[in-house]
Amino acid sequence: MAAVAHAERSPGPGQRSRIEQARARARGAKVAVGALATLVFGVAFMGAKAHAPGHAKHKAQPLAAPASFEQAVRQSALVGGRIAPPVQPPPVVTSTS
Amino acid sequence: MTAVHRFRAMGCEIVLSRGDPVAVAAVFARWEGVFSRFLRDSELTRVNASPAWALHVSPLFARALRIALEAAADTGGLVDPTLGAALEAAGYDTDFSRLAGDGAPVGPAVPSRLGEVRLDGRILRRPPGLLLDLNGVVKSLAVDEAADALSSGGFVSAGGDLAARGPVDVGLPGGDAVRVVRGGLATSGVVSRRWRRGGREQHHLIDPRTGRPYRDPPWEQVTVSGASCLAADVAAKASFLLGEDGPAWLDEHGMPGRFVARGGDVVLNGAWHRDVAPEGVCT
Repeated sequence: MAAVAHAERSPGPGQRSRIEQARARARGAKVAVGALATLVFGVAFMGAKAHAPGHAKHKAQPLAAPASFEQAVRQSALVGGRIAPPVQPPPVVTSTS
Repeated sequence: MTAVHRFRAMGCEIVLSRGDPVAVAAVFARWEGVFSRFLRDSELTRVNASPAWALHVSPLFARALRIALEAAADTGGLVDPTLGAALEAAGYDTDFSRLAGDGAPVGPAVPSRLGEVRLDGRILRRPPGLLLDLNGVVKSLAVDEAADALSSGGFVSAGGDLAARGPVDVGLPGGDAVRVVRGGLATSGVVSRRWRRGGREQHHLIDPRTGRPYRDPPWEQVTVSGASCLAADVAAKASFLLGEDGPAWLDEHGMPGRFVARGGDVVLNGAWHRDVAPEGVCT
């Protein structure tokens, strides 16, 4: 009687094969999903490292304009004045300083 | 005839017209009190004596040093605020009126140390022992500040460095004259501020390329017209140190310049000649 019940619950050779196949597919799917997630994370990480402004690609530079830029933009103090021929005796004399 | 006031400050004669002489004297006293190399308690003396690598300086000191560093950049390093040690090595180590007729031989040459000075806001960084000398800009800055308080048509002159608030006629070395319509006029040279050390003549115009007083200059005096007394003074010193290239360098900047050669000949650059067009001088 017990052998009959066991025989009723035990899968046949064809049924066992389908379960094994389903487990194999599930394992394969898990591996594929894991690999895909790892790949997507890796690509996103490398992309962020290469392009996102929050990630330094080189040694950090000071937050200031380069000296050459400042030099080009800053107005030189060397600007000429205006002179003309004298019209009366000078009250003051320029001399060597 | 407008009254002209005269008094002494910063080691030279101050002449002014159409202004309050007390207020002008206070301007010069303030600048001298901060920047004199010969006052023991001046800020410059204390900065030069400090063993610290970084110092917090006053707003006036920071402003003048920033202008001095900009003047150095504008002149390719010819007007240099780091030549205090070179001046002392040449013997200019006390007030000019106290320099003896002759003295010990000069010390070793002290070339420019411009690259070792950094100013960030009011924080000055420089190696201890580097002696600053801001005389290349300080007197003319004081003249410009004093001129701001004058009435229209007034002028103020410190040892010949002049700023005007309107047309004023000014006598020139050698007997000529010119009308300053706007801005300032300054003369640099080796006629008056010179002394002897070790039997050799020295003067205060240090060549930053050698760290010694400029040897055998072709000019005795150079007078330049600038948009301010500062511009004129810086350009006069730089064009003097450029020797034969001085007139052309001033023309590149559109600045009128008048050069008195050692033999007394007067050379005008193109800008001066265009504005004044005198007779009997060459360009």
